[in-house]
Amino acid sequence: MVFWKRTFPLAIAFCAGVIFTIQYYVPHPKSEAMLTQSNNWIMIISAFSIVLGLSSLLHIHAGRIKRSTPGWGFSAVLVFSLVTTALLGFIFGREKGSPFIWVYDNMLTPLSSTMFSILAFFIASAAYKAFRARTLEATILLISAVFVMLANVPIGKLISEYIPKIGNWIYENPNMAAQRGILLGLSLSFVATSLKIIFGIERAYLGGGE
Amino acid sequence: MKIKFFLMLFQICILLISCAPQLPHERQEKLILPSKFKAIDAPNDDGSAVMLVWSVSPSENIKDKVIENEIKEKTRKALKKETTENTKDALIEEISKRVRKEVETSYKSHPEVKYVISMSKTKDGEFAKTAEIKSNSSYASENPKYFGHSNNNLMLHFLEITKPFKELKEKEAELTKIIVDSNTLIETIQFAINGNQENLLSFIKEKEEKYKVLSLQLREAKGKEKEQLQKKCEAFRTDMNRYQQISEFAKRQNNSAGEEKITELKEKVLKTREEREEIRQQLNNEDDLTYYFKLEMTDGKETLIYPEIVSAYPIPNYFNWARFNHFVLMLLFSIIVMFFIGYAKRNPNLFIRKINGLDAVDEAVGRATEMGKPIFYFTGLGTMGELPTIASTNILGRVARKIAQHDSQIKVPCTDPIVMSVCQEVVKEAYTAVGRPDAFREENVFFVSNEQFSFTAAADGMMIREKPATNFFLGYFFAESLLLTETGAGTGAIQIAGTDALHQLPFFITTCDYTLIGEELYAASAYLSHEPVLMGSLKGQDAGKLFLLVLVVIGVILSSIGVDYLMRLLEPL
Repeated sequence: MVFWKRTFPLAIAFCAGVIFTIQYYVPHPKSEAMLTQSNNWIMIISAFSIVLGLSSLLHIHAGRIKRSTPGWGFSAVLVFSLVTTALLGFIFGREKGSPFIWVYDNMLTPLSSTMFSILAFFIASAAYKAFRARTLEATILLISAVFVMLANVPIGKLISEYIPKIGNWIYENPNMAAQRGILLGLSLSFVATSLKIIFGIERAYLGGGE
Repeated sequence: MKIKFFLMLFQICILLISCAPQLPHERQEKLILPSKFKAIDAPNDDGSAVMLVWSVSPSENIKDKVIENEIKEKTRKALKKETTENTKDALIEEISKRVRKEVETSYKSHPEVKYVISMSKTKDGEFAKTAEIKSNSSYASENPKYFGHSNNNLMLHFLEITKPFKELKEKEAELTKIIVDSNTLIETIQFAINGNQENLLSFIKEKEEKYKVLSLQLREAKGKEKEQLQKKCEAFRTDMNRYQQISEFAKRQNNSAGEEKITELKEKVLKTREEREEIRQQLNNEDDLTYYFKLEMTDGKETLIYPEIVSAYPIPNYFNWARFNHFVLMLLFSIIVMFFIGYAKRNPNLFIRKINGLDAVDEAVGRATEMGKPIFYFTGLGTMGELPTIASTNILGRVARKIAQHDSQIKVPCTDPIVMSVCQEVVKEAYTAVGRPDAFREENVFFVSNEQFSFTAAADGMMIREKPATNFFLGYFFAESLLLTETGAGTGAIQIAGTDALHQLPFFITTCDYTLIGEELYAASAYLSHEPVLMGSLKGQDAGKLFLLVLVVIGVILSSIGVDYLMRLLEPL
């Protein structure tokens, strides 16, 4: 049992890791074909995995409806929407103008846009909390933020032609330097983490880890 | 002594830079053929290309860059001579334009010299023109991927010729267009038959609007762009007429006529697909061919032909030497990391700096236990194939163990079914490892939605209703990060976040109590477990970082004095 739960997955991770590392340096058409084929297999398997997700979703929400737990109405709406949309797609197809696409264009898209638009208010609230001159660093942050924000709106240039220049300088120099510093460390972490996974040193994602 | 040594090094560098071969500045009037012309297999590729290389001829047009440099220099001298501090911008611009016109006229008075490449599949067969190149372009120095960074590359031209060749590719594209157009027509007729006149009309209106935009662009375009836009406009006009006809046709005729038309079009699509497959087969059969090339040089009045016909046979390569520097660095870092892992096994007490966010995990779990509230753990929007998600599931195992020990409750809403399966296993194993398999509930690790904002809405709703004591946001997040963390902050939860998404870090830092920045997310697993092997890998990363820092400092110093050899050595190709 340990072989199938631990050793076999580690062997697959090792072989796949080594093969695809080598593939990156081999331009031969057979190597490219292997990569394309693997990507196709991954997409197919990922598509099948939606069945897992659906069963989890239905199991949980059907249970809530059955037990009439508080908020079971939301679960009923979810199950009804899931089943109705799926049936619309199966019966009427997914061409342009079909009911399925109508539901997508007129219900899902506006709802997603609404959620996205709430970000504007959350950003204002987060900025209000963050930009307070309590310490030296916070003051520097506040002043930099003011310049960068004004540089991105027309009124900044109206106030002074130097504001956009300072704002862009802050964005393109100290900000970029900090981002690149983080990226440098990140890239090495990627290498180290990938090595740990390929060689089976990091096994927590299999469950347990020991 | 040291100062003398560095001064000498500096002088050698300047000497080396000035010894670089320069392009001929004085152009020979008489046409002279290049001294060398050869065809070779393109290196580091999948066998789909050959390369032609030939030397620079003294008769060539002067390179545009050389002309620009001369314009700059002459403009600078003219402005110095003719202007003062108080001179107006308009006059400065006039002088610049005058100088530019003078220099360009002097160079462009010479007829333009071009190279013409012709190709054949047999030595004695008919040669068809493949490419026409201006003599002041296409230098080998512009392609270090194939030729390296030698200064001699300034004296070589190069052209890459890929197979499949132009005519076959054009034919394939033409057939693909016929297939796409036919499928569009089938769709259009189906709209009409289904009675979706409204959709058909809005579809036609869309096309009309695109045509209007193209017409406006055509009015303003010039030269080659105008020709291309004209062709596009003509194609659009033909399409528009066709759609109008279909619309009229659908109104007048009955459904069966429409169905017949669809059947006819479907047959056409099938035939065209077969034809396209044949062409693709022909392209694949180009595998076993040697290609022959001729070089001609012309200035419009006279044409010279290189005496020798050259040939090349494209071969797929087994190693991409352009990525050799990348390969060496990868091996080097891997060896460093493995070395430190071995070192850590022998010396387990390695120092690692304090990471406040990870020290707070115990406190956060304890708080949830005292309050009797659940802990929410978000793994982000990534799939299981992405490193941040793998790192997140590694941390989940450690966190789930602490939660199981404290007899608290964890909930893991997931956006990906595979991630959900992995998280279920991880949490289950964590509970089993501390002897509490009965406390694990599978419905606590569940799939929500793989749509970004659907998941966010569901997660926000859960946080508002259940008011968790602690939220973990560890993984790769996009725009939903602020929506989640602001909502969590509003419910009064302790929030610990960690991501390598640079654009989301500011949002996490402002709204969460603790944030793991970038590589701290990957260090978390080692930090929480204190396993020597994992700590060793962190040390290896740090050693690699030190090596890179030293390289950066040396590279900056060398580049500042004009020696970019180190930069070229590490350049991605």
